[in-house]
Amino acid sequence: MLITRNITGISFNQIFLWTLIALLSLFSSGCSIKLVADYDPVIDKTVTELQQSTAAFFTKMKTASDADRTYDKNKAFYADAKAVVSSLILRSKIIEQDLKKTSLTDNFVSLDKLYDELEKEHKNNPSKIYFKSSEAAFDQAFRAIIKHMVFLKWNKS
Amino acid sequence: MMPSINVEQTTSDMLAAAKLVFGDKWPEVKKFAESESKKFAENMLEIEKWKKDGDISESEAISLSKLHQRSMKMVFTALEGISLAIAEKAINAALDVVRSAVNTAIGWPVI
Repeated sequence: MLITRNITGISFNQIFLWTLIALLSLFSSGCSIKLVADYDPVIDKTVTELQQSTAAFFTKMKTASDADRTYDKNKAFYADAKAVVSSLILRSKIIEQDLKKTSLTDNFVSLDKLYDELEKEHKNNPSKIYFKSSEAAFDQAFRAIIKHMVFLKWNKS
Repeated sequence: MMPSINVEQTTSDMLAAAKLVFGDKWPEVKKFAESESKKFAENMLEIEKWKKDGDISESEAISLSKLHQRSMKMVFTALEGISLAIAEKAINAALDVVRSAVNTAIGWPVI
């Protein structure tokens, strides 16, 4: 319950109300609070395509003969994937540039490091089991990014 | 005459709007976090077993461990972003309530 006092003809309710309006105007500037990046359909589509090409790569690595599984025969995959991740990092940096938390950019940087780690070990001719388990790690990474994108889309709906 | 605003009612409506956003989405986030944590634990157990049985080399075990730890870190980073998205939606839902109440009380769109 608000206590109403008259101080030079102005009640506490009036002061409270105008303070509330001033604060809201100051903080919201007539629009809304922004804590996360806007949903970007280009990022969403690019991530989905990268996930598909990565899944196809793992299928090949799990079924190919030893000769076809070598790093030299598959190094183009890493160059292509890292070029896509680089464009994702660039785009996410732009949409998150004024935000305190840059979760999307951080995860694309992590994704880049996942490809680096996979490429490094691929040069040692790893087993099919290695590719099976690393596929699970990439699946988890993509699930995390896609889930994040789903929530960014929901947030703007 | 200064128009009046029911502060208690508005505050209560703001909280209800925010709670609705959280309540609707939070169980989904919790389920996602639990499911991914379980998968991470299972994957790390597999690596340990394969290494013990000699199915993978030490280099492969170390690399897989790094891959799974990083992907799990990505889940937590995504959860941070998701939490902020939910918080943003909840705050804006609450702001919409107070904005509507203030504008109605005053009679024209102030905020």
